[in-house]
Amino acid sequence: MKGPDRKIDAIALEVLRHAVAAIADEMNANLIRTAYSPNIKERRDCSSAVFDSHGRMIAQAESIPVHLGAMPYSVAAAIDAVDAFSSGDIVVLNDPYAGGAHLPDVTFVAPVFIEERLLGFVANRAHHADVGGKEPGSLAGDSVEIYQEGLRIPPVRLWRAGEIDRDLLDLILANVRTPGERWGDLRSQRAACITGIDRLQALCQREGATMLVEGMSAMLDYSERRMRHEISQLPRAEASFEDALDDDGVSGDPIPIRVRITILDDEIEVDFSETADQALGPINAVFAVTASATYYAIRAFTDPEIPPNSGCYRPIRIVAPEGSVLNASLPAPVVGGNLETSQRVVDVVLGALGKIVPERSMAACQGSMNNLAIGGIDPRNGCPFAVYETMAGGFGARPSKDGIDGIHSHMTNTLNTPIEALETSYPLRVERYELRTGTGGDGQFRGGLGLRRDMTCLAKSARVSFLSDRRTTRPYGVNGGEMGAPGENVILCDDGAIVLPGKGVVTVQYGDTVSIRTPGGGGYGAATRRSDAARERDCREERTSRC
Amino acid sequence: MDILYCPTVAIAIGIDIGGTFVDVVLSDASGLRLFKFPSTPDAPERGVLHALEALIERGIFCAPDVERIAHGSTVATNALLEGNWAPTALITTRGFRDVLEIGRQNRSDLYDLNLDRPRPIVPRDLRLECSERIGAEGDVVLPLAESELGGLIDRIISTNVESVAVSFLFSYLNPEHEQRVGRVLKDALELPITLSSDVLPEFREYERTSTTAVCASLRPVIEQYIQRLSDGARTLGIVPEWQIMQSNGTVISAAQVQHEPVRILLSGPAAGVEGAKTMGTLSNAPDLITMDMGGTSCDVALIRNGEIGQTTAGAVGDHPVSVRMNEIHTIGAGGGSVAWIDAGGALRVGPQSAGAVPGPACYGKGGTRPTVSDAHAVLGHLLPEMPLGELPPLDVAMARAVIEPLAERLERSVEEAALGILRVADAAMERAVRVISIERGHDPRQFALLAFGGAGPLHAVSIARRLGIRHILIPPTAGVLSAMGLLACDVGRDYGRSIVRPLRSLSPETLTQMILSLSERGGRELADEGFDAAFVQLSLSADLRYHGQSHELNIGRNSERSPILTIDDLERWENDFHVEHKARFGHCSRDELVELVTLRVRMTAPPAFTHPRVRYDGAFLGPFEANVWFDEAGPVVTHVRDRRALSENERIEGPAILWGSEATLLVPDGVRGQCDGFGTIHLEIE
Repeated sequence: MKGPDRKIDAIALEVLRHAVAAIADEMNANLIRTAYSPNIKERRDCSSAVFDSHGRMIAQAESIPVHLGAMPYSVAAAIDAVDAFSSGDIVVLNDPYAGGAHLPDVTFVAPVFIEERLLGFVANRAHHADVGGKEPGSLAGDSVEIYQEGLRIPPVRLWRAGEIDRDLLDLILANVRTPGERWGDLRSQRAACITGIDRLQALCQREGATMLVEGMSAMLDYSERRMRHEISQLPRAEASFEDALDDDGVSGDPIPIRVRITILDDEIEVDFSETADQALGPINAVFAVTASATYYAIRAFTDPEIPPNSGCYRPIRIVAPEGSVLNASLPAPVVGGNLETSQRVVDVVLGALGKIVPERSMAACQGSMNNLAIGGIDPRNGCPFAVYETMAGGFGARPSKDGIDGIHSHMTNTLNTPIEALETSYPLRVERYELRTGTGGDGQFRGGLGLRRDMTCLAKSARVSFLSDRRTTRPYGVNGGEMGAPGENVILCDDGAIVLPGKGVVTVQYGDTVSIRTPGGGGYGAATRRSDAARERDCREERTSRC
Repeated sequence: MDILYCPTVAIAIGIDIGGTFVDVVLSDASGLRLFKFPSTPDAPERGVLHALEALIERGIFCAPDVERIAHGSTVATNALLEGNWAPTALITTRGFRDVLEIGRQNRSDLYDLNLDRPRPIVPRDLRLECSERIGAEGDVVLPLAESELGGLIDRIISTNVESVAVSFLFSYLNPEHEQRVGRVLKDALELPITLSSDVLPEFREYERTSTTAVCASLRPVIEQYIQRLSDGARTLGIVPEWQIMQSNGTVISAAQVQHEPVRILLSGPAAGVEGAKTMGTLSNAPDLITMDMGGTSCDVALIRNGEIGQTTAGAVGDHPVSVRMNEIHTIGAGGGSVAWIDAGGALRVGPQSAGAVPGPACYGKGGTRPTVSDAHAVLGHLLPEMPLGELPPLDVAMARAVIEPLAERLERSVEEAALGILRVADAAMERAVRVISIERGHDPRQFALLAFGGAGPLHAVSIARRLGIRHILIPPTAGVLSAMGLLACDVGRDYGRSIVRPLRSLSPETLTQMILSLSERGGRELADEGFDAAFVQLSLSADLRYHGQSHELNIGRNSERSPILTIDDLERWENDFHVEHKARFGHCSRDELVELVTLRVRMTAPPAFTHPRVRYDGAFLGPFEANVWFDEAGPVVTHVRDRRALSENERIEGPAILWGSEATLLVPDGVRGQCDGFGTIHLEIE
């Protein structure tokens, strides 16, 4: 592949980096612009990336961290599955056991040719609102097999040389609840691939194929150098950390998550060997999800400005035994792996890194996405309605400052639905939306406060599903800081307040109030060292109940 | 827009404050004249008044001749960014005082574990609650508990707040509770009271509450600023009421703006784009990408069919301010951006900037790090022979000295390193242009590039080449386009009212009633500005969306002139929405329910303006030749001319440098063009 003497110097490297990053950005902007479903268009649960001909990721545009660094597994699966790519082929997949993350995330992979030569790949991933399975929204909290979670699509070509495979499309659309919207989103994903292909070809024409191919390699080396540089600044040490998920939604016991991190010169080994075996319920993570959460934690802990590509992950070795909750095997259900388990992976990786570099250690964030789905019949028009929300909570305290109150942390960052939009569209009334006084772990620096949102059902009845964690376990504090308060899922009805488990489905009646109370973040440092000014402010602003 | 070529005022003054300079444009029958003065960031009005005083003293104009004075200011923006707003209380529906703090629950950076959320405009202990509730149909779910108001008033009196905001849920559908609280507070307190249903009667409680709180907290600041300005001007003998630039690209009298300072928060860049639009319109270029590159940042905007893209999704310092404003994309790339080599060995430019002090090394004010301007100096794009406003002559040796260490690390010559700095800066700016064009569904090759700001014309050709843009415009007043925009833009105001109902469920009569009530208010306010009703123009538009979407498209902008709606109009809106949705997002769905979210009325009157030709006084810089680097091939002998000496239709042939008092234009080999009758230089790229 080496061409005649065109050295990629410091200048060419930076110019190409901008150009390739712009391609990923433009694919993602195009996907968001043309998508049908609110989940992609408004909540931006999608990402796009550019790969070289070996399937190494060169640049990525992601709107939420849970997609970070996970797509190389999809491209590798596509390369494995297809013998010889042709121009115009597009591979689609969602199977977590063949390059995917969880079933709602559907990934497209398309080869990019310049004349006959394979230049690289473009790919994008989007969270689809429904991919079949036992519950609407494909987020059932009580599945015991992946077959209950929805349609599995292994890497298959939905377009061959530009022609769609109608039979395959019909098969896919016959297995989802909202085929019209799905087809719209699938077309948007293809349009984004075509944008990426066009842009990469145009860049190739401007810079020359040799320059581009060498440049992509140089970008990987560049990110690798920066990551190695960051790691080499860390002390050579080893640390272990343990935390747990409350339960798997099916059986009641806590699920331990354990990591041992070793810093070796300019490399990191992240070993999850001591983690629990895979669980019965849907909190299992496939390896790509574990890798993504690990990459997130290391990226955030070191230098978030390093361009995210396969090069920056070269110095990171992740060990997760097959059949464990962090590298699940077929047919384990996995939908919550992305949503809840990924948060706990971040907690343990940051916990261990914090032991190695105490001055950068931080307390745990709320550690849950507090997934909530409400569905029923809207009495105003007789039509079915379905609401899906995630809810913010407390951010962990840092070595020099308090955690943030009521904000999304780590692997998600999706927006809330405005109350005035929610009530206009759905038979619900929001009774309060406020910070939970006293839920942040006390400390020299206080953990962020959790939130409380109460919603009253104005339909005759409704099904409410929860997929949440940190209802029994609590976000840890560090250096003597206290734990954050756990969350609570409560139904307020004529019989009083009924406390529900973190994962499950209930039916509520007209006038019942669903009260979600999210966890607070952990505290940092001994509470006795908290300044008088900070205590006075907490009391004045009713952020603590200890006054 | 119409420009009245016969002056109807003796003298009009446009005066704009930037980070470094106060730019003044004087317009009279003989044309436009431009002046620059140092700004005084610690007390902005002082620099403005000093500039006016100096011009009067120099005999440039006589105070009694001034019939109009329009002003663009970053005072409100800076107060917000620096946290210097007035202590403010907020009253909300019970259970919702934290909406202002929680916002949309997201964080501004995905990976920054050390991030901070912006300090809420109102601290939690000054966010007070009142029992009341309006429902999603505008119905009263819980009556206002008037008995609680006495306690709230006592609480407010016991604090030192200087302003009070009120924001209740669904007040855009039924403002009665807010209005009753407002009346009671006004009777009991001698403080400005700001109601969300007055400032922004539109849905989405967080954005409305934030906008209202920002507005309330800036009222005391802006009232005092405007008072000091007009008092000072009156002392100088300048009597007309000041007009202030708004973020939406129109001006309005200071008396109106001081109650609603949110409308001026992003007015600085807005004026520049208005000036660019005016020059583009004069030069028959209705489709423009404008690039305003200054010392620290580069503002990019898109103008299609003579209309500047607008947004209501603006924010200042992460505080949402959801009033209509010109859509401008800003990146941290300017003449002062610092070049450095990072830990991975890549050459980076910015985001750090040498700023105004110490500034680039070549300005001789103590700068020690290599910047974009230093690269231009080393390559001969900026020459010691060419004056830089008030600054001492350019120091090329200093520029070389700061780039040398970088060149050594790159194993390149100083000139090659300088060319590398410019290539990297261009790559970042190309990305900014791609964001406002390609990412929004527009092909930049269909647009002309209009470059201004101190550094814009230096980069115009290279940016255009990277994007495949063939036509470039460099207006004569490039460096002070903002001040000119102040005089060229309309006088006007925007009014909006959220409805959030299926379009087909609404009767044209109901909507007409709403429009009439908004336009009546607009007509009254413009009459207060001294405009006869015959000159006031109404333009009507509607934000529409498919049911279930959370973002709207603005339809019918500037094409609806009558306030009376018929069923045909509504059908046309619906059809136009489908068409626009298809154009912007690639698809539409004619069976889906279309909702009317917000009705918008803009009331404008044309400015009493102005001869757009620039008048030059004083001697021109004589033509000479210099050795200039355009690429790695080495220096070429290049014509350097004073652009002010160009006559109409005079041809320009690259390689050339056209010097202007505010900005220098770089014309490489192979680029040719000419100067039009308005002094705008047009370049064509092969």
